[in-house]
Amino acid sequence: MDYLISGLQVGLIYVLLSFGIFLIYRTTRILNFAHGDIATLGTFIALTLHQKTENLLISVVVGAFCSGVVSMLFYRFIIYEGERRGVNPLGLTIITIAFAYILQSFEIVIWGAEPKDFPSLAYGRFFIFPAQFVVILLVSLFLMLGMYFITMKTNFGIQIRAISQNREASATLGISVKKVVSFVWFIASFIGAIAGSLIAPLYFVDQFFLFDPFVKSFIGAVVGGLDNPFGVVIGSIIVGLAENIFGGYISIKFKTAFVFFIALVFLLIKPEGLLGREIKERV
Amino acid sequence: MPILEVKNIETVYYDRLYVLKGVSLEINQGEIRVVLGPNGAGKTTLAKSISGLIKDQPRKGDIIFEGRSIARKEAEKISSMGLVLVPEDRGVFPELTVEENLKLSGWTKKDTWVFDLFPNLYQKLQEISNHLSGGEQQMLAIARAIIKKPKLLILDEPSLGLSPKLTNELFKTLKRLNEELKTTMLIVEQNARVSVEICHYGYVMENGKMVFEGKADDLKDNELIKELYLGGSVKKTEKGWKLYKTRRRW
Repeated sequence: MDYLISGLQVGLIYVLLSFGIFLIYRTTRILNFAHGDIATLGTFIALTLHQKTENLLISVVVGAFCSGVVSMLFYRFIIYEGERRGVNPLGLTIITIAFAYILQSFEIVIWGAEPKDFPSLAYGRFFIFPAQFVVILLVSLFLMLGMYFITMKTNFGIQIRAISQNREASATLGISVKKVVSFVWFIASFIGAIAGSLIAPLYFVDQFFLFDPFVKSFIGAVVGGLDNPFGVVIGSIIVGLAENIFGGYISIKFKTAFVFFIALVFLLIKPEGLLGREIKERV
Repeated sequence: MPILEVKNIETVYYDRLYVLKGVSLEINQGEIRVVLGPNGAGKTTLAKSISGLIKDQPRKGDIIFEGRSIARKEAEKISSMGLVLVPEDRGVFPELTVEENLKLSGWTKKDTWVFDLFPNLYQKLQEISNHLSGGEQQMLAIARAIIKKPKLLILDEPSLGLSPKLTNELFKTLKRLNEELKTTMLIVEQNARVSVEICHYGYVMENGKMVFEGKADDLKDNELIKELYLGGSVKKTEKGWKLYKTRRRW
C-alpha cells in the first residue's frame, strides 16, 4: 500500500511536469529541456519568499508565477525570435538545453550549491493517507481539471488547440500565435513550478533536484503518447507507479533503470505511445 | 480606388528561387477577380505573399490594402485588417468540431445567417471536422472566413479535390456571397471553366509572371485560354508546332 501511495504521489508530480512538456511540444514542436530548471527557479523563489514571509502557500504561488514569467519571456525573446529567423525545432531544442545550463549557473550564484530543506504544505496523516499525498492529489486534480476546462471549454483553449494543429491557418484567422503560445509557456512553467514546490519536501532542493523527475515525466509523456493529453497523464502515472513498486519490491538500485527499460519496450512495441496517434507516411 | 493593389512584387525562396517575378494586380470593391495558371505558375505563392504567410516576402514591390501597405506584415495583422485567406489545404482544424472551427472566427449562436448559405454545417456542428467530406470541409473553411466579414476574401484553389458537381455548387455559393453580402473576392484557380463564369475580371499567370489579363468576356473569347483551360478548339496556325509546345508546357 505504501509503495502504491508513493508511486501515485510521484506519478501525479510527473503528470504536472509532463503536462507542461506536452503543452509546449504541441504548440511549438519543441522539447523544452529547460522545463525542469525553470520550475526549479520558481521553487527557489518560493523558498526564499517563505523564509521572509512564512506564508508557504502565497510563496509557492508567487514562485510559480515568476517561473511562468521567465518562461514566457524566454519564449517571446529567444524561441519566438529563433522561429522567426528560421531556426528549426532541433536547433530550438538545443537552445532550451543552453538555457537550462544558464539557469543552473544563475541558481548556484544566487542560492549556493548546498542542498536546502523545503517545508511541506501539510504534515501528519489524513485518515490512512499521508497529508502530503492528499495535498499533491488535490492540487494535481485541481490543476488538471482547470487545464481541461481552459483547453476544452474556452475560446482561448480552442485557440491553443487550433495553433497546435495548424499555425498557419490560425494566423489567417487573425489569432495572435505569439500571444497565445507565450501564455502556453507561462501556464506550462507555472504548473511545473507548483509541481516542484510539491515534490521539494521529499528531496533536498538544489539546482539539480528536478532533473530526475523531469526526465521521468518526459518518459511518462513518451510512454503515454506525447500528442495526447490523456496519454500524458496515464503514462506519467504508470511511470511513477512502476518505478516505486519495482523499487519497493524488487530492487531500489535499479528502479530508474527499470523506468528507462519501460520506455525502451514501449518505444519498440508502440512508438507513438499508449494513446498517441500512429504516424503513417504515404509512399 | 482599388481595395487591393499588388505592385510589381517579387517573392524569392531560399535567396535564389524567384517564384514571383514582378507581379501586379488590383481588385475593386465588390468584384470577383480570378488568377488562372498551371501548376507551378506561382498562384499559391501570390496568395500567400499577399496574406503575409511567407516570412519577409515579397522582397520587392508593395501591396496596398485599403490605402495602407501590408507588404511583409504578419499574417494575423493582415487578417485583422479584413483580408482573409482560405488556404489551398482549406486550413480546417481536423481535431476541432465544426462549432469550434467556427468559434475561432468569432461565431456565436446568434449568427444563424451563415447556415442559410451553408445548411449542411448546421446539421454537423458537433462533428469532428476531420470526419467531414472534402466539400463540407471547403464549405466550413469559407463559412469560417466570411463570419469575419472580410473586406477581401482570397480563395486558393477552392475546387481542389472536389467533384465537378460539388465544384459547381461551391462556385454558385461564391456567386451568392458576392451578390448578397457584397464580398470582394480574389480566386486563385486552375479550374477556368467555373471561375470564369462567376468572375468580373481575370489574370493568367505563367512562370511567376502575369501573361494575360482582361474582363471575363475577354477571357472566354481568348483562343489560347479556350484551348488550354476551357476545352475549346483552336484553329491551326501556320506554326502549329508552337501551339503544340505550349500545350505540352501547360
